[in-house]
Amino acid sequence: MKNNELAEKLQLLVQVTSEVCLKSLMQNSEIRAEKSDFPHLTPGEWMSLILVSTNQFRIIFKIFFDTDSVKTEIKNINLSKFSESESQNILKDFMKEYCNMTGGYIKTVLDKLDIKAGSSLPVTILGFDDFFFPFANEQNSFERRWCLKGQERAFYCSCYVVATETKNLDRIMNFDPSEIQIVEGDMDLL
Amino acid sequence: MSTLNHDMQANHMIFSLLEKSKIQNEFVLQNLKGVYAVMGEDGGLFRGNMELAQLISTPLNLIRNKNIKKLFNRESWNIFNSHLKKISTGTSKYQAFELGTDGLEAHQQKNYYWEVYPFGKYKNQDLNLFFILGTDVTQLRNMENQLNELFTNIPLGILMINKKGQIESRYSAYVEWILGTNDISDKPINAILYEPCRAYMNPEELKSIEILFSTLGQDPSYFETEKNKFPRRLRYPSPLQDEPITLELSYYPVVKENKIFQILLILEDKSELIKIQNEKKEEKALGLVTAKRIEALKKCAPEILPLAVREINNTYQRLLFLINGPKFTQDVVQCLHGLKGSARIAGFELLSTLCHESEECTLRFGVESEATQQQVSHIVAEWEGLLSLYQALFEKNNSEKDALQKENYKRLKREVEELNILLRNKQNVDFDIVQQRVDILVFQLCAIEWRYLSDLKPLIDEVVRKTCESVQKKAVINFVSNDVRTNEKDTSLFYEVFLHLLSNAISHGIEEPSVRIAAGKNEVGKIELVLNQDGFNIYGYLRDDGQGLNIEQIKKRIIEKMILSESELSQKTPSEIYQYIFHAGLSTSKEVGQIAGRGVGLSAIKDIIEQWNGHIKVSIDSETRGARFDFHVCLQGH
Repeated sequence: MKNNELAEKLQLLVQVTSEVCLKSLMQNSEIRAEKSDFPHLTPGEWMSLILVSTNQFRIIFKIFFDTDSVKTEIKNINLSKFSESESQNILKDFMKEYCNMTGGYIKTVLDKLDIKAGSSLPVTILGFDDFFFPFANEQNSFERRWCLKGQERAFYCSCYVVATETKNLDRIMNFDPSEIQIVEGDMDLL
Repeated sequence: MSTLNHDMQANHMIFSLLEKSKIQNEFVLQNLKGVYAVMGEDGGLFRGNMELAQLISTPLNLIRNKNIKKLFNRESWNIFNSHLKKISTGTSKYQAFELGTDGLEAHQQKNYYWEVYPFGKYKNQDLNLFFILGTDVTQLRNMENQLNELFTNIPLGILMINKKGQIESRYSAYVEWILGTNDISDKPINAILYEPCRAYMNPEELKSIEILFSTLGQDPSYFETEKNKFPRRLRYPSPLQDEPITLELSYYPVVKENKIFQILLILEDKSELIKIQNEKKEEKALGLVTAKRIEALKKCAPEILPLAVREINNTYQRLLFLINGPKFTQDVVQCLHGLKGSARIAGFELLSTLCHESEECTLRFGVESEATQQQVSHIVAEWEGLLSLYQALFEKNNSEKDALQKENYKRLKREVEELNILLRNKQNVDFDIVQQRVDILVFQLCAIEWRYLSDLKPLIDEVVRKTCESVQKKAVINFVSNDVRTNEKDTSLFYEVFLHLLSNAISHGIEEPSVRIAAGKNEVGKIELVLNQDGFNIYGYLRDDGQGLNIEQIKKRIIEKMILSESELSQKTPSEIYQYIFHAGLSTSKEVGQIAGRGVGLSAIKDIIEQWNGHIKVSIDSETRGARFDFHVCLQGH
């Protein structure tokens, strides 16, 4: 198995997971993942991210967003009683939690495939800070970009994979990411 | 809780703190005064702060989709971009420049001082990012403009002299106006300012320029000790002014590393002030002069003053006529001599001195010379001043005299009207009667302005008194005028003749009292002036009881003056020789004084008398053994 094949599989895993998680967390069934490049080098004011790491590869999942877009697409949070700055913080925390959830599910899937993985704590930083992150060299690091489209707004995501070792990963190559589902009520947010 | 969970918790806390810290930093950056941004070479923004968001009228969270080009017009953006290119091509690591946001509406436009730093390339893309800081200098520039305006409009020439003695490029606009020249930047101050003033500077002032330049590059204490020697006031021949202007200069040292690096020079045009000061000085001087004139008028005896003023004024008018008219030196000198005597008798010392100086000047340089004209202008000023003061303060009411004149004119008018009626009656005209009446009319016309020469008596007495006082002699005069009358002009001329004759008699004829006593005479000399009139003919003589005429002295002067040769002289009788004392320039006096000595007086007498178609003769009086002057004049037709 080649690095790029592994990366592609993992990226697809992340993309599907990101879609499923956002749909679930926002209780927005309209959200769909579409392969798309970024319309702008910094496609969101903010960026939430999480790192999932194994002995053979590392995955960095990033989602760019504007709090306004989150507010528009989210269906299960009533922010009317909060001030503007409080709402902003809540929405940023929401997206951070979303990353955490996505990372957690990726970890669970990998675990089921007998791949031991650890994840970082999720962070929300400026979208511009993406400038300081490493970029893909197409040899052992790869990047995939897509967007999660809601009814009105879109959230641009990227998955950066560094593959160092491809041995004993046959199970993952046979895994179909579309099998991923989320059990209702498995989240406890806010 | 497992160790792993503890680690997670700890990491979570640290992350939270870092996040908070980052958000705080973001808040600071967003609210940073001035413009802060990260942008691409095409002007596309990646991030920015509140001020920039306001400038481009966009919410801060959407600023990353905007372009900074919006702030500038095309030309300004090209300038901005050229600075970015210098960094992206590696020519420069940092750029700083000033550029206005001229792409915005006029009321939004501001001036910014931009600083641009490289931010790096965006990932693997060929996109250079720049970090920019913009400081709003609008207010600073406005203040600078106000200062510039002040600097330009302030009526002071402000410039800096550098170590080479050159004018620095920044100087106030007024410098050019004061110096009447432009483009003086980098030119030597000496050539621009001091050199043109050389003609008006004394050697000490010229040296002061060298002292000024010697302080450049020196210790500030040297400047302090020498600064009082610097040129402080200059007469500068500005090309824009007819007259040289007066500049006042102030110097201030600009010290760098304890050496005089530059000198700040402030030029002030003080011409107007100096003019006002001079006017005030003149006014003050005029006040003093006026006081002196009043004093002189007051000193003159009240009975003399009107006569003296009248005679002086007549002679003065004659002087003006001579100066403005034919300009014969001899005539002018004689007139000045007469005026001098009259002024002296009236006690107008300054006028007398001025006449004396003018006389001397005219004799030396001629009547046309500038020096003489200048001297005469002083006489004019002095006499006009005295006369106006006399008229304002001392002249009596002439209403009585005016009434008499009016009555005379009425009478003459009646006479002319009667004559007119007589002549119209052509058939019965008796021409003898008409002739008689015309003769009477002419006489009456003349009589209107005729004066008795006896009016001059107080003046004649004063002439004797004053002249005796001056030469420390004693004399009395017996003036017998026998109702002789002449018109105003002739009276004045007679006064001038008497003045010269009396001055001559007292100066040269009457001896000093001790000499007279030794000679067995009364110490008080006697002078007799007798006049008689027969119609238009006036006869008279003046005699004294002095030492008479010194024929040897007269002969000696005739030879010295080369009027006659010795052989010619030997053929002359004593009486003929005596007449040479009327020759211009022949004086037997050894010293020239204010009263006599130049030989002008007697020559003037002869000229006046000859103007009247008369003659004068000098002789030794058979009775007194003193000098005797007999004269006869005919006023008819004169």
